[in-house]
Amino acid sequence: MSAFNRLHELRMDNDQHRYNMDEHRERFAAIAGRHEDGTAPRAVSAYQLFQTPAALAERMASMIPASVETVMDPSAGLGRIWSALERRRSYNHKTLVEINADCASELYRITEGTNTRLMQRDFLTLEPDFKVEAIVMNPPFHMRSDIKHIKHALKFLTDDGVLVAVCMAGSHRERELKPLAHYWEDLPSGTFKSEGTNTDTCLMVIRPKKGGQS
Amino acid sequence: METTYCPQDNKLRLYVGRVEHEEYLALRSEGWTSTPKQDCDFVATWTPEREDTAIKYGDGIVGDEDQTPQDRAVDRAERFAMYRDKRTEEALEHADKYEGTSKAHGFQDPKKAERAAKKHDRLGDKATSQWAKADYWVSRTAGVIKHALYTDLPAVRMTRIKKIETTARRTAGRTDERGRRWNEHCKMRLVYERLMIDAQGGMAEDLDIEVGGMFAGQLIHGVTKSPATKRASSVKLMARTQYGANKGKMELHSFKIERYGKSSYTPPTDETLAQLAEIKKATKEARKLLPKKPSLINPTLAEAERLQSMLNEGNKHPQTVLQVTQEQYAARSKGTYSYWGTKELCGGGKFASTSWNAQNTPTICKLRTAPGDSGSMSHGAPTRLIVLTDKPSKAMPADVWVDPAVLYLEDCKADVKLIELWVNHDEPANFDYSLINKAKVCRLVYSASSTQRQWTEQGVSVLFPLLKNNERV
Repeated sequence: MSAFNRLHELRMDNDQHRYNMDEHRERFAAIAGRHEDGTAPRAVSAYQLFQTPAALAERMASMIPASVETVMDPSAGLGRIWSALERRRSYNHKTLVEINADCASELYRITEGTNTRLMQRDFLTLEPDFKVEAIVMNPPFHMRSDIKHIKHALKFLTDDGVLVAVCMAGSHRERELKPLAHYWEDLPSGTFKSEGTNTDTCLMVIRPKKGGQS
Repeated sequence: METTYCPQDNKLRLYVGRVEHEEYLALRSEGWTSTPKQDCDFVATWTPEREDTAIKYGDGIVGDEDQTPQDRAVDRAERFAMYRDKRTEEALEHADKYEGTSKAHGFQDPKKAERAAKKHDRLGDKATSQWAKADYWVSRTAGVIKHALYTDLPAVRMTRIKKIETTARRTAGRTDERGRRWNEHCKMRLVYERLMIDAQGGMAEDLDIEVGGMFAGQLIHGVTKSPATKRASSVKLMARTQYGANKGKMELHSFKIERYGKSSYTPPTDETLAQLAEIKKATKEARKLLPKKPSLINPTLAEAERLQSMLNEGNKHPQTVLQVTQEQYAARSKGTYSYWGTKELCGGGKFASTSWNAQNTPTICKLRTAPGDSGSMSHGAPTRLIVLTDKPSKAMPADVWVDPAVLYLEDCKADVKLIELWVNHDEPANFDYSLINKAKVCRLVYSASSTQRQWTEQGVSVLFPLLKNNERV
């Protein structure tokens, strides 16, 4: 091929490349303007904020029966579990409860326009005046508050509902919660290492109607 | 070691590999550019000194360059395209990572949260940075291709030939060794470029262009030849004059033909010659119908003094008539920026204003004038009349002493109603606008634009009492 023809070919190729780049221009303009429009990555810190690792959140979401239509996360954090639920399927109704204002504001931002009820308050003070078919939760562990949270959450379950929770490993939890659990699993140590803690944890499923392990 | 010369881009190239630092600095100071990304190692535009260097490196031989500038441009464009693709790929990869995770980074430890957010933010920086680089390489690639194709255009080659011809003419008379070598080099380049242009269709300049022929589809009214080359350099064609955004009338314009090929010219035929003769005849007849231009008069001293006293009237810096010889006047009135010159005189001893919106009465004659002198500053001083002492003088027409504005004022007073209609934008369809021109000369009305029409203070005081019931509509 002559140099002249090759140059024309390269020009066409370059024009095509420019055309392809035009499709992404808005996307990069948005990234470039992230600090001006407030969409830049943000740091949120809160007491006892150890988010559920993404893989574990996906697994917990998958443990809910397919027939469930109403779900709740009583310690929503920054919405890892909510995102996993969203990715899985659309539920008729989702309820999120979060005590920290910064986290709640982030949750408001990501749940806007979805079928989600968001409450910013201490879950332990919430009256059980509504029922849900499933609860997926990663409660705070400090001072055995996970035991209190899980027991309080059970009050919100319908008779045939299911609760999937993560709690801290230890004799107290085993004594208080294992008898209620339909399924109990000691998670591998270091499961929460990426979230800033090396605490050993357990995964449990409670189905009040079916009763706990004997 | 190999050295080459390429006539297409007039470049010398050294294929010498890495050189010692001192040698490198010497080459740089002589104008050689290091091109490590290309096959050759140093490149420079031809000069006698650089040719000597090339001969030295090539052991007495400067060979022909195998790669044409177009081949080189292909290599360059391909290299730039590779950079472009790589940067685009990286940008998209970073952007995917940036957008793939949640923007909120939550931890109990604030420092850890801050670190995670910053790490995520850096991905955004990387994405936009690589994107900007990809954009840069897109434009560089486009530039390389455009330049390579541009330099090969016949029109560009013709311009290049003109430049080489200029250098050849400038160096033709030089007797020193350097000048002689430049001249020889230019001649050789011209031979090469002319061969190339002939292969591309030839230049219009080489043709014997005649009046009455057609150039680019237009009838040729005139041909200008270069005094240096004795070849046609431009042709006169009818074209519409463009005044900013407004299209003007068809006029003769001069078009340079240096960038046109042979195919743009068609020799005259009987038909085109007849067409040209017809146009010339029509132009001549139209010129006869034009009003006669006012003649330049050397007034008598008495008349000049009378007019000067009229001009001086009421001015703080009265001037006297300047009496000079023709030679003195010619010396001071020469050139574009001379102060002395001629001015058009209208009725009533008033000079025509050159302002764009001036309303002048018809010009009667032209007089020689100089700016009035008022001491340190000449602003505000009346124009000074010039009388040539060594040339015959002539009496000015009697109309010079009659101010037409006096006659116009009577006309305006008679048709004051029509003027009022014009001010109110209510003039009838067959309105005679010469009346308004008269009113403007008398400074009775004023229009800053076609939609802004108003009475002047003088108009209000002179014409309003004549309007019925002294009412403005």
